[in-house]
Amino acid sequence: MRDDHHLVEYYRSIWESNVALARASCSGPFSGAESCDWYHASWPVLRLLDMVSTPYWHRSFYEFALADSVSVTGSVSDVCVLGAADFSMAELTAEALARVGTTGRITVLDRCPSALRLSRDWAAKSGAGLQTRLFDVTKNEIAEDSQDLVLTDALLTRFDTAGQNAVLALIARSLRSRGRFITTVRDHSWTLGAAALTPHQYAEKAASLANEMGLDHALIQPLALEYAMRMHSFPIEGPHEIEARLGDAGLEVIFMEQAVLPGELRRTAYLRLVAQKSGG
Amino acid sequence: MGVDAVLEHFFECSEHLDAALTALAARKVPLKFAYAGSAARTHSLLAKSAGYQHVNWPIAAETAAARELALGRKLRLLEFGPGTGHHTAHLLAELVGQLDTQRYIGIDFARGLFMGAARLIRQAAPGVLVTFACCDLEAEPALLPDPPQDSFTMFLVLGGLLANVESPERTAQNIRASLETGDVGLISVPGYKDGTSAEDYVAPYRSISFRNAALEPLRAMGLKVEDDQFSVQWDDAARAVVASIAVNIDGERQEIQCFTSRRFIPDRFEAVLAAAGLGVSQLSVSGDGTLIWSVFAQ
Repeated sequence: MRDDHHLVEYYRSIWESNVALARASCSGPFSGAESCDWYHASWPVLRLLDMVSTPYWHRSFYEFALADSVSVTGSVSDVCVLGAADFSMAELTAEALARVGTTGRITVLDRCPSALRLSRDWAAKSGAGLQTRLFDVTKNEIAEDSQDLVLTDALLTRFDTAGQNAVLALIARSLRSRGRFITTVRDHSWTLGAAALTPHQYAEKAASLANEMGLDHALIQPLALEYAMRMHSFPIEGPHEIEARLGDAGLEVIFMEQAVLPGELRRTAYLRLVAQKSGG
Repeated sequence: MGVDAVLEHFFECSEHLDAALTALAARKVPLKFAYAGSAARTHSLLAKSAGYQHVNWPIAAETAAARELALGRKLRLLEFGPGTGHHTAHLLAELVGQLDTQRYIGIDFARGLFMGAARLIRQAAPGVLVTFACCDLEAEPALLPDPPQDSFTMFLVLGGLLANVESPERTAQNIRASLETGDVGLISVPGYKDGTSAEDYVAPYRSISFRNAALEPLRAMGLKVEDDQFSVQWDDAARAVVASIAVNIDGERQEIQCFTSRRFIPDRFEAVLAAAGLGVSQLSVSGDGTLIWSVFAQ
């Protein structure tokens, strides 16, 4: 399934230095830990091993959603990426817009300087224009009516229900009239029957793949173990719930896709959504 | 950062472009690419044309069959190949108050048309939850969520989907594999009628909107397409309307097939259904010759 050789090579070149970057610059807390360094140190290498939920798992959906948004409006000026996911959201967004002949003004927001540094490094290497901003979704605001598009990937399930509602309200305020919110969320309503890997099995799988790829498994295995032990998802119980929650925030679901992917510890169902702020 | 000129012709995603280029090398671009990307726009225009509706929409007969299958049941509705949704919305509008549709899932190769389809379906059946599953039914079955325990699944394969794919046999098998045993549904395909002239089969396709829709994927691949090189013909041996275009590729003139729409004889199509594991409970024939099968997953 992997057809992202250029990205694989880029991840190979950055993953080890990224571990040191994360230990030095990550802020926190995150998922019960004082720092998010366990997350940002491990994520790029797990991405290299294709063992972590990544925007690239939803590439064709993001390409479609961005192309459709551009073709409907005729232009897109301001695009906000909420949650960097290392550099991958910026890369995917910029590339998807370029496919249909436009660039837009892409701003990447994240609470962690490590993630923003990765996005800026990628932008410098690729020549893409990009702005980044340190941003805590629980404390900061985006200017009202300032964005044509807001994208997040698997962000909502990082928060409990109250937090999810607050994030959705913030997104709705930031969008211009008829602006769109594009996202993916894990669908906890669809149980797929497959047994989940334990964290230790996950870490062993990571070590095995690392060996196959000639990577330092002794460094990678504990990173994978800590990721699997700490990563926690607040459930969204299916299409009905997410449609209602978006509606409460003033965002109408105009496209909702259900997809099944290999997942991290188990086969996982996702919802891929395009929602639109009602017109003025 | 400025806004550049938006491309007029594009594919829905890079996967589609790669697949279309592979198909082009075999001189046959499957029709499914004419529903996606910039082709979704041209197809939407086509769907509003009278010729398109004439070919694809035997609403009265389909309504009667659907009513018989699903009356009184809480319904989960699956549709394979909903396209623009106009056909389904008409069907659901005829059945409003008679079908208790709780949930609708559209299954299609391309996402592009489904936004519009979802809106039409919600208007026709208010309160229904509408979701999408992306699947190339010509290649594999769809993976669908388990139905709610108290609901009944009915599926639709309308608008000639099975007439337009490269292999109706394989697609029918993949549809069956997407279902649970006992699911019931309607499958409609255009029928072959003895005595119909070739021109009668071809006439609905002689429109600018059809030509633009069929050629859009080739434009999206960057090919220089000349309208007068486009032809639509009846292939009596294949019992199909076939459209093709002559284009220059790397200095060589090549004939590219870009559309196929078959016409079916009941016995032969029933054999296709049986081979796929779909039993037939009823066949009705609409006034325009469309074959409407009430089927069940065996």
